[in-house]
Amino acid sequence: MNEVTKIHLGRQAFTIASDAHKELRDYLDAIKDQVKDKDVLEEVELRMAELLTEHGIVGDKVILLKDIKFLKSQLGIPSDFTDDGDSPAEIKPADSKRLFRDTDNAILAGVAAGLSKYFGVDVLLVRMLFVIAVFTGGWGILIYIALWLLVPEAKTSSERLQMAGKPVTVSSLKETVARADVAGAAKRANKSLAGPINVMFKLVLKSIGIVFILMGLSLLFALLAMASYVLVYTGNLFGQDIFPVGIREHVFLNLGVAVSVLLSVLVIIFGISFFKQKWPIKTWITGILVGLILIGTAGTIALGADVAPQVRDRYNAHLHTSRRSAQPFTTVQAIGQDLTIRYQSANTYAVSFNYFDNPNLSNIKTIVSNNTLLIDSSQFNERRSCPDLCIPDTYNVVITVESPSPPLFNDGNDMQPALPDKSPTPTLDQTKPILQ
Amino acid sequence: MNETTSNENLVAQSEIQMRKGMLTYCILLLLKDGKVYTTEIIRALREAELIVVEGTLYPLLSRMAKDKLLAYEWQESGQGPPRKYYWLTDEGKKLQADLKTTYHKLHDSIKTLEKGAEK
Repeated sequence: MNEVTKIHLGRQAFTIASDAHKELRDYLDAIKDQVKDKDVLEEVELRMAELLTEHGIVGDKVILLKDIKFLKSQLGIPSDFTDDGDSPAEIKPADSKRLFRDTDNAILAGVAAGLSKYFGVDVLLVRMLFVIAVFTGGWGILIYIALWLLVPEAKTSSERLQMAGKPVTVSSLKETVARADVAGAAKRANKSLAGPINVMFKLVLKSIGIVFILMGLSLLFALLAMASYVLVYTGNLFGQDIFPVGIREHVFLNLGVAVSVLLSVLVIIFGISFFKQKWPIKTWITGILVGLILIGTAGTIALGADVAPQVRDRYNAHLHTSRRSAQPFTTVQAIGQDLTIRYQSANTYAVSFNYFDNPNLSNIKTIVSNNTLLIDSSQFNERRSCPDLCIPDTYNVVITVESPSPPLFNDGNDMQPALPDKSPTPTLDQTKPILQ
Repeated sequence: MNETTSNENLVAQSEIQMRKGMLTYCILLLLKDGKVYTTEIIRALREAELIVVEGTLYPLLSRMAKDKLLAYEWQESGQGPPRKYYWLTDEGKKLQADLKTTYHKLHDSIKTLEKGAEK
């Protein structure tokens, strides 16, 4: 059975069942919101006591829920207690439904919960759609973040009612407030179907957060390693005077590193936000961070566009070509290093080398015997020796075999045969008409 | 069907407005002959089918008391809670007389209009 409580109502003692007690308290609280006059309130309470007595609540008879219902039928709804006289409590039409973020039922920012309230569908469905949208091109993340920024959070009781499309009245407000009290307990006791799935969602979000944090940290460490290298070796990344040369290129490099550092910090913050399901830093700090990244990126791109041709020219200045004529051959065999071998149609038989810097090419032997061109690079050291780190650290040797007709490639090693990718320029009669 | 509903709504709304307009005068009438306590006022008004729920009445009584139309005092009753007795002040009595004229004038105007409409 129901528990009972002793209460005083209109200076009289009553025994009341706990559910009826709650109902009575809510009702009185709602009336209190309407009636500011203490005297009136006392009169109402007295009248309640009187009505209950008339209704047969005498001695130690317990007030039940039905007795409170009777009280309400006699006294009216709380909005009847308005003093304005003319207008009964204003009822907003139910179609004034608005989209809010439902942070009470949120996993991240309440976007999905709010959408589900707005469209009247289950929140699980909305979350599933978001997950699908994330894994099909990732635009789900963009939509989520956009809604997060654009849709306001339902903060007040009336906003929560509007979110659910319920009219905002005194009694409905009371109901929401009463429900909010138990919302915390309900969340903890959430053993329904949605419970384990919500837990799963949270785990997925936390894992994504950890991935982002690790990504940001490794980027940060890589940058740190690069920066310390530049400091130790006084800033010559390529071992040759290619890059960075001059103040402008140093500024470009440093700006690029700075932007990357900020970007990795942002990635880490993003990861933390997923992990904690809350944006961890203040909005204005986020704004400054994003602003610096955007400005820095723009500066880096502008400087890069200015610097790139000069760096390329300097790199090209280190490129050389040498050519060896050879006896006629029909087959090409390569052993030794994994060097790129191409074929080019020519009138004579020859082997040409394109390379960066100054490799000792005499260590690459080219011998023709039995109509077979043997390219032996096993004695060749393809690694460049630089005083510092060299990027690229190879000579980037490209061997081009020239002959009137394409030779057969025969590979001495286990490596992939370098297929002739430079086919002879097609003559006119070989080209197919584009349109029939 | 829709029309009937909105028509019924209109009737109900007008009725509420008319009753509300009349309620002050009705309370003044009830208290004309002396001290009456709240429950009796409610009973009388309900019998006259002027109110449905009591909620509307308390704020109205309180405002009339604030406007010095009514005076009240608490009295212990033999059994049950104390009762709040109301009576008319001089201002209340004056208003009651004024409203009587107003009401009769209004009544006559409506009668005339109704007769005019019947012809």
